[in-house]
Amino acid sequence: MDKKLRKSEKILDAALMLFSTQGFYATTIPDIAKAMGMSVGNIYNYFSSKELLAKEIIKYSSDILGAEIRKVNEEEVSAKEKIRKIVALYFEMATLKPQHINYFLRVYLANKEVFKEGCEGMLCVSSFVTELMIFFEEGVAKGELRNQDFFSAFGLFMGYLGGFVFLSGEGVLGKALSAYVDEISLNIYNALKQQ
Amino acid sequence: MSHKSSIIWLQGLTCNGNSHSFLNYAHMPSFAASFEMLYHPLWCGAEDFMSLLNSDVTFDFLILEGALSHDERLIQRFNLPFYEILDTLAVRAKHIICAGSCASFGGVFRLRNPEKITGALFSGKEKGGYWLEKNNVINISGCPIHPRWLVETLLALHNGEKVLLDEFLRPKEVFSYLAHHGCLRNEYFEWKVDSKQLGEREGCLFYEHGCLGPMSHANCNKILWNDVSSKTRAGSPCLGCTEFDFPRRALYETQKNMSLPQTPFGISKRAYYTLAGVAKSFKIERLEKKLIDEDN
Amino acid sequence: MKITKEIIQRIEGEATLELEWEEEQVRFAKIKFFNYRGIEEILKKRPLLDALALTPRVCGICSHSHAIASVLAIEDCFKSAGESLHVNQKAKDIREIALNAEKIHNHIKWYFFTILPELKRVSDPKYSGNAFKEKQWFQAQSAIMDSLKMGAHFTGQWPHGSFVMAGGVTCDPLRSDLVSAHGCLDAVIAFCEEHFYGMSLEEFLSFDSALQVMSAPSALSYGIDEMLKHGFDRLGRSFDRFLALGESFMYEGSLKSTKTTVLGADVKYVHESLDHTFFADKNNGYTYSKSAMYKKSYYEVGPLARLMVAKEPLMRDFHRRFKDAALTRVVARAVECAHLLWRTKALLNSVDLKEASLIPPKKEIHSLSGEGMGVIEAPRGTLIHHVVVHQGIIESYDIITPTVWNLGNGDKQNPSTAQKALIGLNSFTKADFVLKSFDVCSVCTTQ
Repeated sequence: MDKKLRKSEKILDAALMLFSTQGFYATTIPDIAKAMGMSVGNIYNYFSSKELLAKEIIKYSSDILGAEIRKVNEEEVSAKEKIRKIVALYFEMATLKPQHINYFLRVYLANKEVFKEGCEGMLCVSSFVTELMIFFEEGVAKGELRNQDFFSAFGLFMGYLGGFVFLSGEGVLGKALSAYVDEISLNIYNALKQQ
Repeated sequence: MSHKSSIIWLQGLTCNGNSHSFLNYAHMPSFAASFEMLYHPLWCGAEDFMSLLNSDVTFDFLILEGALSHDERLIQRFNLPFYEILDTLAVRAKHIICAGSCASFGGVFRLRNPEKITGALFSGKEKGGYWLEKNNVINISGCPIHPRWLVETLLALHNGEKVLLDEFLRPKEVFSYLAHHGCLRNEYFEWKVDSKQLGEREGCLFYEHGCLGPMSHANCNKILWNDVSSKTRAGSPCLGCTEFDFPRRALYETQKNMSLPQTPFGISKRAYYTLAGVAKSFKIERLEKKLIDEDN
Repeated sequence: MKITKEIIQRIEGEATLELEWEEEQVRFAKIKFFNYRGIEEILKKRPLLDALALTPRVCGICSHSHAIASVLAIEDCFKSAGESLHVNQKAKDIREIALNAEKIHNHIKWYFFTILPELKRVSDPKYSGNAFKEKQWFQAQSAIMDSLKMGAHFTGQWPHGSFVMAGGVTCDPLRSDLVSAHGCLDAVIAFCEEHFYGMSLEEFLSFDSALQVMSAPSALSYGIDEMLKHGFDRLGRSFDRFLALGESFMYEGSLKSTKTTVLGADVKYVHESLDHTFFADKNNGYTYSKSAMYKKSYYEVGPLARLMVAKEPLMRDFHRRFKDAALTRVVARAVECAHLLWRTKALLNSVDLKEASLIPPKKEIHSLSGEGMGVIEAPRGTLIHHVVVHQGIIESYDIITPTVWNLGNGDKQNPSTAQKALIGLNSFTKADFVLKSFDVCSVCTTQ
């Protein structure tokens, strides 16, 4: 069972790489099979369709990012510090494993029709969104963050980070992502903090 | 002729709601067969109060209704400081039963002066009320109590049975349930279909209307009120009246932090938000429609 | 001149009655209430809707009355801020059914649990009551449960149901709920026909003479006989002045009457007095209960007042014979109960379930500023709630309960309704019963 799981993950990684660089429609199952050194039929043993694979990838990315944010949530530090840590880990992931954020921006957001059944609403990104819910709720409960609608806070935080990584991907930023962590964290904190 | 247990009922600062709720007990002849009400403030009892007070006869149950205080300027009965009466009678009672949230935790009437007006053994959540400690007290919280909660507890004790109590000294048989159990709108809670307004049969009242059912310990929706209904069955949100923090502020509003409500009792945030998020991702058509299609 | 102080028990709490005697007769009386709870204070700075949950906790026997008065006051706030809420007839009917369930239960409870035993005690001070002992007590208790169960189909629970909200009611009953409620009401009617009145409801309601009531053996005619024996057909008379400011199916608008002359009334002439209370005078005040007056005079509120302004024929006959004596007051509750049973039966048959239960206000409650007044007829009489709200938060909340109307703190030149009723009595026992004829609610005075 373990072996199958590890193999699945490897397929997900390979597919993730291809989809995020070539795009969803341009990548085929044979492409993925070739990258894995497996037969096409064997790939279908693990994932019955390209669409299913696409949805599993977004859950996979979300789980990885969610697990990292969970670690931050479980630390006994201030909301301000947690913001800094979340920004740092997001930018680190964008730097060391850009395929995840690229997939999210260029495949998940751009091809909604692929995800509409089976990834309704927040279904496939739930592990990541839940951690942000916990971060926000506790921030308000402790009086550190201003109480507001969840989406207005979420949009500010994630929209900012996603947009910034997009700019980085376009090559327009002058410095490495890591150099922006402090400034961006402060901007986010100042926008969300309790007055 | 089997032995009857004797009761003296005493009131602190109260609205009498627990007494009147008790009067709705559906099997009153059974109650009367096992108990003798030596004294109750609202109707003629077997004994005259002053002679009871001045005797030194012991009795089985002292039922306390209402918030308590040591300050004689706040409570007096029979032109005597209340504390004198309570202290005198309490030592002569085998069991002390707090009937209602006021006697259990201080309730509504504690709000005016939380330092001086408290429950018997608790002041809100904090241990220590009128007494710091006492080992024969049972709290039957509620605003008011359901008559069955009181009578069934009394009967158990009358029959020499052991009554299991929770951390707030409330009988577990009643207070291990949540008001949420048995609510007719459970399916709407499961699928996160919120009520847009009060006055309709459809929708859950938890997210927008302040319902505290999922975190209030009571079996209202199991045994029903007045044999027929409950707050939520009549379309109104549970107000959490059995809990130590009743009444909360803004009772008809759901307290939310960044749109996220308090989670149901004993359910972790991670579990609740994940499940709620998943449920909210789907639109269940049947649950969006009227429960009863009256157009054909 | 001597002064006696005695505790009056069993008036939904207690009071201290201080009587001034001269030549074996009561010259003056002071009625003192302690154990103040301060709901009006507790409500300050709370969100407006909290009043719906907290005001019922003023009183466990008239809890629905407070809830309804509160929602009317809140709806009036919306009106003062420019949005007149429309409450459907269905919601109005359900509110009335709930209120009637409470009134009916109250009148039966009071008669069988209080009046009958208290009357026995007038004859025999050692009498230890009928509670949990006498068959009729159990039967009355069963009828009380049925009345409240009838109401609970709509209110969810009694006491302290939360079935009202600005714009209507929270319940959305089915036809089967109405049928079930009707069954409960029929059981209450059966009890009243068999035990209370000794005849069919229809027959009782057709009467216009006291003699007709006395003709059938019943708990009511028995009570009348006992009261006659003790002179309560003469004792307990007050100003013969009645006030009914809340709505009723039996009359139009707000009314008052002096003896049998009925005129219109307006709630704007009501004012509260803190004279002789601890609020006004920490040193010389003697009670926590306020007084209420209409155009500077004391009035009587309650079932007798309502039936007098409605010119109800049977009560008019009792009044013609006995004026506003204690006996008249007691009978009035029994008579009003019959009318309420009849009316509620009709309501259950006519509620239009197709209408919406609640039409929510458009205005956001957190930005509501203004003031509002809710006036209803509670079991014991006119109940008034007045609230001032600013940005959705309560600035002040004032409650005037029926007992405050009847039991004011007047002085010798201008005694209150109950004080006047006590003057001239020659025993504490008589004074105790006369006071109880007002169906006093101690907790309502010490809100």
